[in-house]
Amino acid sequence: MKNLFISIMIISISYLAQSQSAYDIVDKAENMYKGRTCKGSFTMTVVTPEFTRTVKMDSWWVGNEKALIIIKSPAKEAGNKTLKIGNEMWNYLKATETTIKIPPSMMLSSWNGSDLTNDDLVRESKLTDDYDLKIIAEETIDNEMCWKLELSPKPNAPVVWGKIYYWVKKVDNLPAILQFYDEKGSLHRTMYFSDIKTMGGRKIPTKWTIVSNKKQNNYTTFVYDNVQFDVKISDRIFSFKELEK
Amino acid sequence: MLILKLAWRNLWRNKRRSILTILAVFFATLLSVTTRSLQYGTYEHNIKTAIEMFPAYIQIQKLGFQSNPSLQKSFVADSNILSTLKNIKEIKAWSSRIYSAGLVSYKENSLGAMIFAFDPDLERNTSTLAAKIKSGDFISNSAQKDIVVGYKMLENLKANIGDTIVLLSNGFDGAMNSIKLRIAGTIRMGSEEFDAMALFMNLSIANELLAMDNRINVIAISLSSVKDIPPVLTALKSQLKDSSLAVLSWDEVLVELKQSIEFDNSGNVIFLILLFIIVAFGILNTVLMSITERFREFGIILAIGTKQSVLLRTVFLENLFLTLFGILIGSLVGWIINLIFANNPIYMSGEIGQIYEQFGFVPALYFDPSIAILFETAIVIFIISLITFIYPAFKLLRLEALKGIRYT
Repeated sequence: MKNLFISIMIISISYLAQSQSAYDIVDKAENMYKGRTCKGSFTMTVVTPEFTRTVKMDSWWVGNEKALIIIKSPAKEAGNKTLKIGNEMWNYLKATETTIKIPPSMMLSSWNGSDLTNDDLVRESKLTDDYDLKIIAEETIDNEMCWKLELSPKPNAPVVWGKIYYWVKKVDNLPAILQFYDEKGSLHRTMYFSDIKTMGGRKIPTKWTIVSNKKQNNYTTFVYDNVQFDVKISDRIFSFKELEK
Repeated sequence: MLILKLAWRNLWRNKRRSILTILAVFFATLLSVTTRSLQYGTYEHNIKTAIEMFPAYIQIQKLGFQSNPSLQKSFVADSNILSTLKNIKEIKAWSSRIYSAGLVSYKENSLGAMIFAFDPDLERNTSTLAAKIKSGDFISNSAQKDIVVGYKMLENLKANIGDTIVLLSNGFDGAMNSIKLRIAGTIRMGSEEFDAMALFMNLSIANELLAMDNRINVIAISLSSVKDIPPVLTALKSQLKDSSLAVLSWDEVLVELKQSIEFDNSGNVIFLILLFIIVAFGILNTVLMSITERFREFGIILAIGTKQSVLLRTVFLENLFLTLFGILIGSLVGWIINLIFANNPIYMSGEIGQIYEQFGFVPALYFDPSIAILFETAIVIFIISLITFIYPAFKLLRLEALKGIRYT
């Protein structure tokens, strides 16, 4: 009886220890490239069989809570803005000088024609909060040892994915690959992190490639042009006044 | 000839017996003729109403648009397409359309919208959409920035006719574009989805907004009758040179309508089969009765030297007369009923009507007066009565003279 109790203790402690470290790995990996606050310029390129489109933007992020994105080019779209506060999202359109709130039904629509959805920008899902994390394997990707983590959504978590696989590099705890599976268990899209450079005082992957596994030959790249982490960002910029300026 | 005469006389010898058999066949025929007619009539009417409202009889699309629509699956209506359309004489009219998705915003409210853009003048000839206006006006070429929205969308936006909304959509190049448009009217199509999400706008404005460069997603083709579909489909498929285009008939576009009809039809077929089984036993019963009650008579006939085959042929002929007569008057009365109701459809009100509307059906019962239904039913009932004759015939063949005489 006593032995059983001890072994249960050991098992649960080791389980706790393991899930703790899985939590740490993801938390650290996410923080590495997102930062608590972050401000920078990015270039997004959307590639589809029909068109290739490059959009330059400036953006400000405060954790997962607030974000502002201002389109800089192409000229036709320059001045369009996207504001996110909590779970809500607005688009400001320069051409018609109007602010549109994105309704819940449009959350899974593409953001600006890319392979990112509005939901990605709004929830920017805090993986460590909404998912149960588990290290399931150690694999080599591009000659680097990685942890392979399985993320299953917690019951009642407001997420759209059925399962996520996350490869994090052991050497620097940076993300390598993220695979998103829908609720039916089929691969929806894959995110690759590459071009590791030192930027904003950190070594980070400066290029994300989001490949749609549903639409052939469609992908979006997201490149950091410059970035600053953990800088003070005034709350004032996340306001309608600023949005409609 | 003698047999024929005998059979005929037998019919009149016991009128009650004959009438019972005729009635069994009569009711069976009547019931299946009217049921079938109601079914076909309602289907045909619903199909016609549904396809003429907007989807049209035939659509030309880019291959793959139907299963996975996107703005990029588009084409230019070139001279080959246009001359083909002009040359097929069954084609009444056609309308080029852009289908897209977007976001409509009015004050604090924004909603997802299904965008349909077309030339209003061409569309009036192609579909009955303009007749579905609930209030306000249909779009026109004179006020190009006017739109028509589903009446529920107007309610959900908390806007009024005449208000200006902002429409936001990703164009052909993926860029987010927006435009201000004026709501000129609302439409009621009877489909929850369309009434809450549809937005109809002018083709040239949509062309600009979505950077389509004169590409379109769909050419909707209107014909005068469903019967013209097969020849026009063949003609279009052979004459259109662009192999990346798909020519689809309404049942490939409105897969859901097609499926709900098939589902409903399979239910009705099961009902008909049950009906036919009941009919078969009804006929069997009367025929068997009319034979067994005459066993003594048959016994004597056999005893005085009549061949069993002669007896069988007589009884078979009797049965044939009764069945044919039953089918004839059943079909006739059934046809008259069908004709009456075909000209006076029964409209349903109240809850049942609402249920029909929810499923996108017209809340009315229509009958199909076509003669084909009569033939179809007559053949089935005739075959059933032939089958039901097997058992009595078998009993008759095994009848021995003395047993028959002593049969009580």
